[in-house]
Amino acid sequence: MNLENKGLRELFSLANQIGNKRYHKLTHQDFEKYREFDYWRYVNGDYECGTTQESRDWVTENSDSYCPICEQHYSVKGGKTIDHKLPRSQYPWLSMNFHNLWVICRDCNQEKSEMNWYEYEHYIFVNYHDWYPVVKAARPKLLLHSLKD
Amino acid sequence: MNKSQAINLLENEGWTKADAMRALEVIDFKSNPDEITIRRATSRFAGTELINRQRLQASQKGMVTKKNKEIERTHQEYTAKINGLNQSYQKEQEKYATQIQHLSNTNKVLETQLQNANTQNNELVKANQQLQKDNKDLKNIIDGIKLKLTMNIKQLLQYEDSEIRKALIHMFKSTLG
Ligand SMILES: [Zn+2]
Repeated sequence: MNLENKGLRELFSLANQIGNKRYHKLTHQDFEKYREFDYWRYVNGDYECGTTQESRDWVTENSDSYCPICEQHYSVKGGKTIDHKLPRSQYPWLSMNFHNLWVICRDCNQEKSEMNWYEYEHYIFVNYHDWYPVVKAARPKLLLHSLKD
Repeated sequence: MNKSQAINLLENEGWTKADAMRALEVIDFKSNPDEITIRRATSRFAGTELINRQRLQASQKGMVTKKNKEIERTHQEYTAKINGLNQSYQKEQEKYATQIQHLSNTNKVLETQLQNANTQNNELVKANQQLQKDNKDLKNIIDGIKLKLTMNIKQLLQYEDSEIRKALIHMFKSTLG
């Protein structure tokens, strides 16, 4: 690959392509890890069957009435959702790690989608500059550091 | 001598009454026969009777011998059959023992193969875990650089210099997307 003639934008885009790749074709073990969250969050692990009491209690303990990102009342932003700071499709081994979970509103969750953490910080910094300090404070430092183990 | 006296005589010498009566059938008791006449007649009867009985005994003996031979033959037949069965049973047993040995060998080979496959699989799982982490680590480092770059540019944009600003805005845009 010839990197010399590429601009910064192209180089970032190349890095992005590789960074978003899953080396694993989601192996059997990865998928089991990925599903662990579903079984904790939903009755019978099925979204259609509603949420479990245990996960609802966790949400209550770990949130107040306002989304920490947009600071809006949950009632006007689609309600409370549990987000994986590091998306579980890319980090299946952190699917049920409570350091990786936080409660945010549905709209913020959808906007965050499958972004990696610094990608998301960058996105917020550029598009919602005022929200940046909160997002930066929520950075999962321990988990990011654990990638170097 | 009358008939009953003659019968008595023979009975005293160990004859059965029936034998005595049959032996005396040839005698005419009206002529009042003496003991000699009776003895002569009865000894003739005893001779033929003895021969008859010897014949009967011989034929009975023959039958017994025949039966014995039959039994002997049957016994031999069954012995042969039992021996045959024992032999084929032993052969079967040897055959199964060979098969069992063969299967056990195959089993050992498969066990070794399975162990190797498991070891290799464990190595691959570990390598995969490491790759996943490295991949994400690198992605985060690059995203971190991009973020830092954006922040620094934003800071520099506070200063007034139209040419530098233009260059910086261009650079800022390159960090987007
Ligand atoms: Zn929100």
